[in-house]
Amino acid sequence: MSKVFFPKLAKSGMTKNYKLYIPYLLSCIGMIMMLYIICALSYSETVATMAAGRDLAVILRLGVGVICIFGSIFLIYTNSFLIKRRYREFGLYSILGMDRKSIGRVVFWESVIVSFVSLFVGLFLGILFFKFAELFLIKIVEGAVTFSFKISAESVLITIGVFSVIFLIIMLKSLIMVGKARPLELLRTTETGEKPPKANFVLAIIGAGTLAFAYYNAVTIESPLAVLYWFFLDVVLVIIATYILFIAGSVALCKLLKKNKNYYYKKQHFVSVSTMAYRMKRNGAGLASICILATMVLVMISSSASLYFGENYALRARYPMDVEFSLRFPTFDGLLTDAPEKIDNIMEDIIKSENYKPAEVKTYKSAMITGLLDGDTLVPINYFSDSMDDFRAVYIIGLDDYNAYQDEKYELKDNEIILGTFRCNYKGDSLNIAGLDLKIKERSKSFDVFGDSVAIIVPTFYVVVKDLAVLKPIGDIKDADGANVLYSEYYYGYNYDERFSKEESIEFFHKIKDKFVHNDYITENEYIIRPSTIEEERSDFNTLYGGLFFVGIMLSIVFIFAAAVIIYYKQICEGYEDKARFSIMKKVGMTGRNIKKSINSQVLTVFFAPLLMAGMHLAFAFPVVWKLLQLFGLTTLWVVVVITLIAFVIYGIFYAIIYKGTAGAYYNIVSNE
Amino acid sequence: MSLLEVKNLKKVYSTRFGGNKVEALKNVNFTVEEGEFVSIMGESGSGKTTLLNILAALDSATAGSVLLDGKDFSKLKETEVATFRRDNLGFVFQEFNLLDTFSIEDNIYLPLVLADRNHKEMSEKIKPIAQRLGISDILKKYPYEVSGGQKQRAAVARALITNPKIILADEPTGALDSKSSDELLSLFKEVNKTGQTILMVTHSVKAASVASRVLFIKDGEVFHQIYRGDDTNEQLYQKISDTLTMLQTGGERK
Ligand SMILES: Nc1ncnc2c1ncn2[C@@H]1O[C@H](COP(=O)(O)OP(=O)(O)OP(=O)(O)O)[C@@H](O)[C@H]1O
Ligand SMILES: [Mg+2]
Repeated sequence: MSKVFFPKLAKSGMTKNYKLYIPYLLSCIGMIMMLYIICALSYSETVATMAAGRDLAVILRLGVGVICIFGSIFLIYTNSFLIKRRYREFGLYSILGMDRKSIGRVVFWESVIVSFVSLFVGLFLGILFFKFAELFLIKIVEGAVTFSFKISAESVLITIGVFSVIFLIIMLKSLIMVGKARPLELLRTTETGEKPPKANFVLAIIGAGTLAFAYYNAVTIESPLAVLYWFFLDVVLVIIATYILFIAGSVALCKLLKKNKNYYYKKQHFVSVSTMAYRMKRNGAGLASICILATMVLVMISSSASLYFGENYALRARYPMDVEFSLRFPTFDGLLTDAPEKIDNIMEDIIKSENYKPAEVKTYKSAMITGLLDGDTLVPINYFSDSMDDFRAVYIIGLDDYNAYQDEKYELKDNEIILGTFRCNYKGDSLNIAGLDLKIKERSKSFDVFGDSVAIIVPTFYVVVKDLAVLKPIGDIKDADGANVLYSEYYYGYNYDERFSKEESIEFFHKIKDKFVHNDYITENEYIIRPSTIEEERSDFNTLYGGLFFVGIMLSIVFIFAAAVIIYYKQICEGYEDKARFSIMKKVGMTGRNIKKSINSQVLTVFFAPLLMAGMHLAFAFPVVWKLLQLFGLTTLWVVVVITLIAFVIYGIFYAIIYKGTAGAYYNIVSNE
Repeated sequence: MSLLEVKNLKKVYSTRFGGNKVEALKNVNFTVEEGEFVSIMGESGSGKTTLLNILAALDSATAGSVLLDGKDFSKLKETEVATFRRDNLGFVFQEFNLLDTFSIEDNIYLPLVLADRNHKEMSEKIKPIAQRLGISDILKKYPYEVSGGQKQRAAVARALITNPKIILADEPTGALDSKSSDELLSLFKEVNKTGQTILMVTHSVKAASVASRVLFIKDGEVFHQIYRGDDTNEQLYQKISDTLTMLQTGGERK
């Protein structure tokens, strides 16, 4: 046989099976393109020169990692599906006298062709679309537009390297599959039909139980820190449960329906229940994958979009005033010195001499203590480790400052407090802080003070006392290292003078800052001063959250595409199976309309089950996602709720479009006589 | 009035792009009386399957009419045809056409389920039929678990369960070995004795010789027919063989 024979046979094999191969080829090309684009972005100068550009590059590289892992799993899965579909054809080759080695050579050449074509086209498109992706990223993170056009050599090499490995694995897997298969037997077995699946009720119950446990866990976790740990376990449990439920649970459900004779032997249910039971075992895994992909996309997009769109709120929570100077004293007594007064005076002088009049000035004194909550008692502790569920940061403010800051009119007695909680709850009606017994008089939700507490990730109490002086008795408590457990702070914040532009305001901020300090953090003997202005922080936030959102969008595109490919293959397979089935039913007395109806209900159920399940996963994941977002400083629940709903609707629309497209392919096959 | 009347039936197939026309049936006329067991024979491509498909209302004729119980069903709408087929006709096919997703029992129930019967009625109906066809103990099995002969008997049960006016069978023994074929044919004979009308297309002389009358189709027309009269199966077998030989040598007789 001549040298070109096998490549030729490989090519014709693929063109004949174009319905199967084109989606696979597109998947390869798409993955390669995405990998190149995101990789090239992470190396691009545009990103490097952005504020927080280095963090953005890390986020992008995380995306590269996800695409590599997901891409290899997905492509290997798709390819083995293709090889299985073609057993028949290979069987035919071997009947025609081709030995297994030669079939292996055909498979080899097919892999080679796919690898080269997809690498070439994928890289070409990647380079072509890189600039669009870059502009999109710049738009999202509100960075500066550049007009350079550069091919990233290292990204080309990385992409080629990664996909060479993936394609090599795929080729080896195909060769092993073809080597193991007995095509002649397979030729026969596909005709004689296969065993109907047995319902495994035990497995189904285990699946339901696992899911219930994961859900329960997700809903009941209190501390956001515990969430960090449980989240991954929950994710793994939910994935396992989804697969079990789709594979075993659905068969069991159909079996139960079958047992109910008056339900089962009805025209509307008879055909669909039995075909579904039959099919679920094989296609359950596909449906579960679709469901998991959908959940992944939804969680990813809703959380990154929430961060991105909720950024302003998060920023405001973190920096309640436009410009802030805070003096942190390592002791409680620091507050009682004249340091706060000094600050006030300096500020006033500067403001007067520069003729700059802030729109609003707010100051307050506060104290902070950290500890472990034991019942209603906070036991001071100065270090923190992740496993401490009972760890609380307690911010304390005096009543006058609080009322002024929040514009309230609360009144308190000496040992009474107002309590607010963040990232946790507190049910008791008294609180003992390091031996200081306090009675909770009111609870309040409005605590715009303490922007700091948003940035640290621990559960937090906000406490308003009659006067900070009540803390005096515990001001001297020291921990084992001899450090004070009670800190104190003086806060001076103002909003920009409205007559000035942002730039001028920032300039003015720097003038003040220079007067105070020469570095950002200067440590004098008795205090640390920390200056910040919201506008400068904003660009960092933009880059980070925008970067996360961007990667979220890119990965969502990849996942949605993957789901579409899985659905497409499912529809095609079922189309061929159902074709024979429906022609028999037609002969036995089913009308065309009956058939259409039955197909519709069947396809709809099977199709939308993953979406509904994904919606359920999303609903139960929501409390967890919300807690995680709180760790990022997001404090506005409604933003997250609205964005999650929007994400679900948009995904639903995409899904419906995929459904329409692939259902068409299915109907074509079934109705094609 | 005859149970089935076929008058001047004509069927022309035109290929998809309207090019070549194939005249599968030219002018077919015959009747079937109630309780008869009629075999139809003919060479490959003579139009037997075409005829049966038209009788089954799976296909429509180009011209002519088919009356069942005096009713012309070529005039029915699509939904009515399906109901009509379900209520009046039973089918047995060469390749069984059992659904692999259903147990044998459910396969047999299929036409009744489509006719909206309740489960109690179905399970009462299936018992005597399964008994008679000897498939009572494989009802819970799936098609892939039973032999070809058993599958075909299940298909016969599915055809019988609706009490059809006529059973149409297209080469029912075609996919069976000779032992299973014999069993099936004697079953047909038995079923026919209970008054069931059967119309069977076959290639096999042996199969045809079980019938009470044999029709021969050639070039899209009924060319000849033989009544059994008082003949034994063997005698009828001989007559059929002779006719086939004569057909092949191109003799003329009507
Ligand atoms: N759907 C169709 N389109 C076009 N021509 C057809 C079609 N079906 C059958 N024919 C032609 O009509 C003629 C009769 O075919 P038919 O299938 O009825 O023969 P048959 O007697 O059943 O043959 P066999 O004994 O081989 O089953 C043949 O020439 C066939 O090619
Ligand atoms: Mg035929």
